[in-house]
Amino acid sequence: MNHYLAKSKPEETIQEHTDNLLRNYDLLQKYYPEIPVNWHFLKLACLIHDLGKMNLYFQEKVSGGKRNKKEIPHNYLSVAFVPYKKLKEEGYTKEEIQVLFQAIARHHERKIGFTEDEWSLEMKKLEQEWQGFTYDKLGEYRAYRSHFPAKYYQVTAQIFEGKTDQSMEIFIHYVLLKGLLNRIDFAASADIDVEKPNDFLETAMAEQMTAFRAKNPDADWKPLQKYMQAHQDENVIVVAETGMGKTEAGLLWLGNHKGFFTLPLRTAINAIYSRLIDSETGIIKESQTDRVGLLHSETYGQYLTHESDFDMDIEDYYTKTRQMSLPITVCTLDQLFDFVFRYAGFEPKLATLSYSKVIIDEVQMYSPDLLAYLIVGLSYIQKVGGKFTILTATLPGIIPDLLAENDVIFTRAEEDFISDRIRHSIEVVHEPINSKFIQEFYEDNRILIICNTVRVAKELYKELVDMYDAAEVHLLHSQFIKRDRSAKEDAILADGHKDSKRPCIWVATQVVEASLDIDFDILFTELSDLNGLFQRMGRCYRNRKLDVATNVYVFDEECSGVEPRGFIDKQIHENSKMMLQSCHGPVSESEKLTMINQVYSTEALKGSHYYEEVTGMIQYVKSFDTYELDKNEVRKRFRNINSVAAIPKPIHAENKEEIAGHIEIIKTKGIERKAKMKARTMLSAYMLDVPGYIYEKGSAEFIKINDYEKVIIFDCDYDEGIGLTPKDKEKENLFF
Amino acid sequence: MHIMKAIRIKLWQDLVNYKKPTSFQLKETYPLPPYSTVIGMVHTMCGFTSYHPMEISIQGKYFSKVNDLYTRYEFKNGMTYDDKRHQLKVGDYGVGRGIATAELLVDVELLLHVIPEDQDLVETIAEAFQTPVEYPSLGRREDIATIEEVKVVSVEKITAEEDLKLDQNYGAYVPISLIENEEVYFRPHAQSNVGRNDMLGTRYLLTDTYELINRGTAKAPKMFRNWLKKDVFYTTSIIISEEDKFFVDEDEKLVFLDIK
Repeated sequence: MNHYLAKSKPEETIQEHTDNLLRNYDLLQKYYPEIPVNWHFLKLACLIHDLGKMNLYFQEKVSGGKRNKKEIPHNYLSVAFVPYKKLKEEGYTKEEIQVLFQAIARHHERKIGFTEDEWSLEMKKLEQEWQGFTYDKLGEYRAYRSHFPAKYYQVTAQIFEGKTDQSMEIFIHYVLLKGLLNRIDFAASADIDVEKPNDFLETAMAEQMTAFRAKNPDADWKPLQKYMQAHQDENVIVVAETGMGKTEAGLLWLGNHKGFFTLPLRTAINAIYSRLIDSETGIIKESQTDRVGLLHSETYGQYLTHESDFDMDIEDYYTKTRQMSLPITVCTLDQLFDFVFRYAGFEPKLATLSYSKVIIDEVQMYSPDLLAYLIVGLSYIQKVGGKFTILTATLPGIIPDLLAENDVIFTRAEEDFISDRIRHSIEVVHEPINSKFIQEFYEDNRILIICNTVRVAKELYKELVDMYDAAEVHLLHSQFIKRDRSAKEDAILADGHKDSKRPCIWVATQVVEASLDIDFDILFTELSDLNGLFQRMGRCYRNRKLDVATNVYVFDEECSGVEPRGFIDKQIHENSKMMLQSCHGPVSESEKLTMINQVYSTEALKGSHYYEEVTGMIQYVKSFDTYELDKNEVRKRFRNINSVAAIPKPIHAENKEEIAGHIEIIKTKGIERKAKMKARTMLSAYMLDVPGYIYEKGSAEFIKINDYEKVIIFDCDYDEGIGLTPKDKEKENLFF
Repeated sequence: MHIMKAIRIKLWQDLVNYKKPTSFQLKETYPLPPYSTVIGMVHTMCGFTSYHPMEISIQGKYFSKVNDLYTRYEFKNGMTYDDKRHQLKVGDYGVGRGIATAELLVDVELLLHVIPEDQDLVETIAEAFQTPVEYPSLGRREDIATIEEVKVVSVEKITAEEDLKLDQNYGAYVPISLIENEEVYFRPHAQSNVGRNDMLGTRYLLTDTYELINRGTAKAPKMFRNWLKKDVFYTTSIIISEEDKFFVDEDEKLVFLDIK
């Protein structure tokens, strides 16, 4: 028998590697038998996908030789072993057989850089190897042919979405088959399980309740939570006030299924994740690394901070998380929904979502482009059989309308889950935001000031520092290096804790709007838009009853950051302003929702820049053909982030040696990934995201890490109190 | 399915225009001669004076395409001669003369199959091409055609034992019914991102035959040619799949026929 390798380091034969796939195939089928994939085909695909590696050029390469220019990627050769005649006898149609051929041929997305004649020649040469290849598991499906009828397979053909229902159905078959083959293959290669079962969540939730009842015999799930538990099988959209136990409600809806919990902000994700895995109070107290994962651009760094809590190597845990093998994953939207562009290789994501349930929180926070991705994404998820719920504190009326327009079917909960308690009393001040007005209120209070732009926040901060001591006045915005920002976040959490008594003034931008669990006494804010305002109000009297005459002051004149110079939609700003004119004194939660409904209904928004942007973006995403874009292109389009991560020059000067040390570790070959990731995390603590318009006007130096990566040192002033100040004062024009 | 006899004609032309109707400023060309042009040539070659029903299959290749000037004569109903204008004098009438541009295909090779409904005509037609009575042309009258081969072949619908393809660089007119019935498959380009595997070609409505209809009165007839059109794809990337049935001639050349 000949010895054909599938992998080197460690050496593995094709048969051994395939056995690994079959083991994972069995796991997947055991945990998720309801996936509507053709399981027979999936097994065949596992068996056949790497047989093309028998070709001699590949064997030469894998045994330590050089890559031969004539080598044809093995995925295009494995098709030689598809037993199409047998499948024909079994009654499969040509469309179904095409799906199997293509799933195997394209299990790696590689450009066809060879001619058909070259391909034919290599296919013929495989016969020689095939004679000496034995693998008992192939059984009656052992087959070889050097060429196939065009109706079943052509090397240049692909399976596309098409315009008809039938073609869409075939396409979904293909996505599931190829996507799951990829998942199984990646898992086998990384030596992890393709799926870990969710056989614990319902029990864990029940235990949680038992624990509550031990303290309070009358404890029970709240109405929202009961509602979600009762609607496990439906796609539901529910509005629920903060404090109604949305996280638990989401988990009760999830039940013992695979799920993704998406939130807009990394800080919120980190907070939920930490809460879930807390060994004392968390819902998932044990074997966390097999049960719940955290997925965003800084996963590794987060795992490092929790490392001591885990009983397994974070390297493996990280791999499991990236490969979406864990039953519960808390993640950002962009980690999941970039598949909407249907780039080559998007299939594993959509295939995974076909048997998952997606929980979407705080939907009002998304910018127009992300909202568009969300809507298109949900329509695809529904097409492949996945489920979703939108659990949100406020629901702009435009969202259900857009979902319905895009043929997404969902249940809108009959009632909103809000309390009748009153937390806020508003006074609208018809002035630009100013320190004089605020001055009068600073006695024993803890004051939070939220501005629309960094520029105004800084100005106000400087004025207030002149009035009071710098120890009492603090500033928080996005232009601090990570080290300082997390220190400031800790400080605001301490000052903002509901039991804190120390008087203080915090000046901030919208970075505090969501996710930070803080509770101040008085809020002063510029008007951005109604949604933003209510989010900001959530940082004041977060969970207490109104006990003063006024606790929210809204300044509605000359607000910064409004179009055309800023990011706030002019029409929405105007509408919000109009709405607030009639608003004076205490507002209840249901009044807030009514106002939101009016300002963000489709009718009110039609014609606004915002509405055009969302609908335009939906059209734009849909306008791409399947496989028109490649993955890197999509990454660029999807992130659409106009900022540059850089180290401010003064910070670099202060920490020159440490920074050089970290870069050295990242550069050095042979150091294990964990150490490198640690160094990266440490390095990024010195960085901040410089907005594009500031970066372009400034100058920078570079430290090269390798051919693809460099560390940027941005020439600017930096102060731990104020943050970044660009060199050219004239051109400063900051919005976030 | 019975076996049909066909006359297979291989032609060569150096610079030729198969004019698209309604193209004037630039006289555009089809990539292959349309059906009516081929039918007309066969009838002229044979000296037929009335229509003899026939099925035609057209395939071929050309090397490139160039634009060239030609002399254009402009006629207008009742235009009288005016010696101040750039005209030719034809009796009392004036005919405009100027230049325009024509698209020309370069180094054209054609493979035509002609299947007369009346199979007794096969020999007559073959004879007419083997010993032409005058110079054969296809396209404009000046587009001389060199006859490279004339062969009487049998055409039959057979089940392909291997995938069948056109000759290298060949294109063909494929009747739309063959595509709709999935009798032919397209071969997508390797880096193609058009999002589909079929309908990869150019769709044309080509003139085929015509009926004369009278739009005047019985006394003062005004006869018009009412063209019947054929809906086809011009494509270079087709393939007949193994296992499928298709019309081929005895030398395994594909024959594109719009018949059951």
